[in-house]
Amino acid sequence: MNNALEVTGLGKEYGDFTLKDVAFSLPKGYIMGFVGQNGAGKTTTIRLILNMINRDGGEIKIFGLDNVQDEQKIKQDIAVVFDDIYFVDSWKVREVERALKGFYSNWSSKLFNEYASSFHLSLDKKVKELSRGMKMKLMLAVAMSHEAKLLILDEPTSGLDPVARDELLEILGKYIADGQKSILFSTHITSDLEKIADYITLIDHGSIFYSGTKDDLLEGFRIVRGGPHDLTDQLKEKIIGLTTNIAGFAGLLPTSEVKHLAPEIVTETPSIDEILVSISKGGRSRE
Amino acid sequence: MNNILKSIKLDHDITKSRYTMFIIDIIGVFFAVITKIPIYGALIIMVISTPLAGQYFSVYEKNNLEKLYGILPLRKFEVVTGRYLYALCIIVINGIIAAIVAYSVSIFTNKAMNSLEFLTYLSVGFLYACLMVAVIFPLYFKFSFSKVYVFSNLPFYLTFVILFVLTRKTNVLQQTGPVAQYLSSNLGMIAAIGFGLGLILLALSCLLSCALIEGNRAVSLPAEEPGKRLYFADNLRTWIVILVVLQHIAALYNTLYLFMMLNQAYFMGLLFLLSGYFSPASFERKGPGTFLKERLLRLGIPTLVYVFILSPIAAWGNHQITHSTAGINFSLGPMWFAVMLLVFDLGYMAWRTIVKNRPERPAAANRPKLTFPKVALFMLALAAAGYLMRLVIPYGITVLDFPSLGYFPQYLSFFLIGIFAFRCEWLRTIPGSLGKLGFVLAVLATVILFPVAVFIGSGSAFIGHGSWQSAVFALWDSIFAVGMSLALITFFRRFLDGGKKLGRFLSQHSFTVYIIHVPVIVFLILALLGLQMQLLLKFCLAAVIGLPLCFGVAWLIRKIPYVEKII
Repeated sequence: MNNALEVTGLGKEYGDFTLKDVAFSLPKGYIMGFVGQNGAGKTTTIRLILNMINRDGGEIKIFGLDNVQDEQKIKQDIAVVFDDIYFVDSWKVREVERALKGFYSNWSSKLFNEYASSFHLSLDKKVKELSRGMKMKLMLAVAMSHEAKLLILDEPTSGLDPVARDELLEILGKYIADGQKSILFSTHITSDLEKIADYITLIDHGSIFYSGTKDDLLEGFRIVRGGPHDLTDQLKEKIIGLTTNIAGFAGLLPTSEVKHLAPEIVTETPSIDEILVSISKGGRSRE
Repeated sequence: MNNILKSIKLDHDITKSRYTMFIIDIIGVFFAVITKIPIYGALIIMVISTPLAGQYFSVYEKNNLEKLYGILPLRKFEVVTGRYLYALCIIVINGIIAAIVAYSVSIFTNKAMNSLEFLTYLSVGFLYACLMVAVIFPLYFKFSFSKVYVFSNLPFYLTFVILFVLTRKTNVLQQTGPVAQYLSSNLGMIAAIGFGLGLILLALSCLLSCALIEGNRAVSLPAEEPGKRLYFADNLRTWIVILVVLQHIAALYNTLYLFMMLNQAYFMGLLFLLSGYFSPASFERKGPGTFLKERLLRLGIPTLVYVFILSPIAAWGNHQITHSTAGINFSLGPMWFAVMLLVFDLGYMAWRTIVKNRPERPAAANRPKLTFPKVALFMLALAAAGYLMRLVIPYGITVLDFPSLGYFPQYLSFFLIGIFAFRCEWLRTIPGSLGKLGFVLAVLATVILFPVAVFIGSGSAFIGHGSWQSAVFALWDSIFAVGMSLALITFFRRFLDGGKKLGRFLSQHSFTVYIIHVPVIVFLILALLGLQMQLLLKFCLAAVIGLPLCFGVAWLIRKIPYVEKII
């Protein structure tokens, strides 16, 4: 069993939103960025992984076990950091630990106190008195105090200042250093992922656009720019997220198509952000 | 159990910031002092502080605790059960506070208090608090706290005030019927009923909430693996045959009427459903010719054997028991089921022959799912059909040796549902939550509708002839039959899906037991005739001996050459 997380054919239908045939796998010991614009289906997928909502179809395996049938066993080894705190706001930091430690067989109070101390979390402070960054650190301290093998982060950096975000990335880097732990990092702030992610899964309107290594993603596409006359009908069909203006056009093109381009057209390596923007404008599925 | 205890502790941790609200108990103290009647104060304390148990949901909503429960290694039913036990703890603590307050006030005001009377009031308070929790909690689990808080609590407070004023002005119990008068002179009985009924209400509500919170989950239970033998269906069929044997023992002893009425409301219908479920696969496998031959052999020959050999023997034995004059008596007995099933199967075969090459199972994605609205609609339709049927053939009237034709709409519709359930794989995929919901509805219908239909009005108005009691009875037995069927299917699928040696032996012999059980139990009862003991004990003894005896005889019969090929 080399995958920490394996999702296949996952489906969920709401009135106005459908998650269709979502499939990806996260190998053990790596960080996967789970990227998509707001409302693309990231949080729904995470809630399905955690069995917080019922799936309509598909399969989710965590450490090779079914996430519904073996929910209890799996959750001993999963930790989650959400975008907002999920502890009672009148609890003190030490009460958070006291309330949760009984649920995990691997819980280490020593580890929690060490994390609290290194994150400068005062044990006597109430949850509601913590800043946003400190709340995120409290969730991380809880998440990491039971030696979880899979850490799921659902938009943890939204609303954080750049310093706090950088601190988080540093903590995560240390956390997976032993090669036994994996992280699924859902975010729409892709610059964070460029630094630490090994794998990227791009989700758009409930469907997976890409899932694979970050390097393959960045090498698999090119940003193309050219004048108005360079944009042929054939090229229009191939470009993802085409933008045109009086000065010319820009868009994303699979690298395999680049060799057929006219020499006047400029190509650049895209950022994850640019890929995300392009597919959200008009994506073509790949893989 | 350990997880449920952890869940209770977590509920306490979450709600402890609201414990200051217990201060509201002071209203009860105030009332007790003003009126100088301590027990009224205790009652008020019990009722007004019950919503404290619901404060948990307020904190839950305010603090996004859905996410916390999403990460904890707890099953949903552990969370729900923990929540109800926590509410029970709150109610009990309220009761203790109420008792302390009442005794303190009684000492302070020099007003002596009758302990039994106090216990009775306390049990009424307990029942009322449990009823509040039982009704309100499922709403909190289903909807957000802020949306339903006022609407769910207000009716209870208003009802309490009205009841309280009424009981203070008049002695209601003594002005009502003989049952109430008996209760008013046996306060201990009221206390027992109050505490017992309260706990039952909480348990039922807990089941309902489990069903609501689990929803229509697409869990891959072992039984849902396509192609795997449905051992639970075999085991369920065995269970029904055991019930049939018990039913006939009870009938021969002329006892346990309620048990018999409850059984009759669903068990043969469920047997038709299971038979319908297995008919399409058998037809597919064998083709029309072999299917017809096999059905005639398996249902027809045993019927003939019963009518011409077993029924005269059973009738002779019965005459010995009742000391009536013996005579040759050929009857269908329990084989009415085989005859009706044969007719249904022939109908199915004719239909399949007309609509040739019809694919038996649509693709998984196109299969209609069984949902609660569909179930509810079916319950109503079945009730209407049952009511109309009993205009012609009332409940319990035997026609042409068919003892329960009043249930014909149920038998036919359950058989058809069985066929449809096979097409849609329902036995494998019915959500467990629907089973729990079915059970709760079956119990509620039995507590509310059954007594209304059977005990109000003249003797047997409920059996049919267009009376309103017959309509209520039809509604009860429809809800009960559908609810119990769902509950038993999901229960057996969850807990009794093993293909163990004993289970296989029992299921292989269940049909033979069905055929031969009547003469076996008649002669057993004849053998026990001389025993002098209570009727209920006799029934238990006959059941304990009769069931293994029936399976033993069935085993011997199946040892006869060629018999195993038929039954």
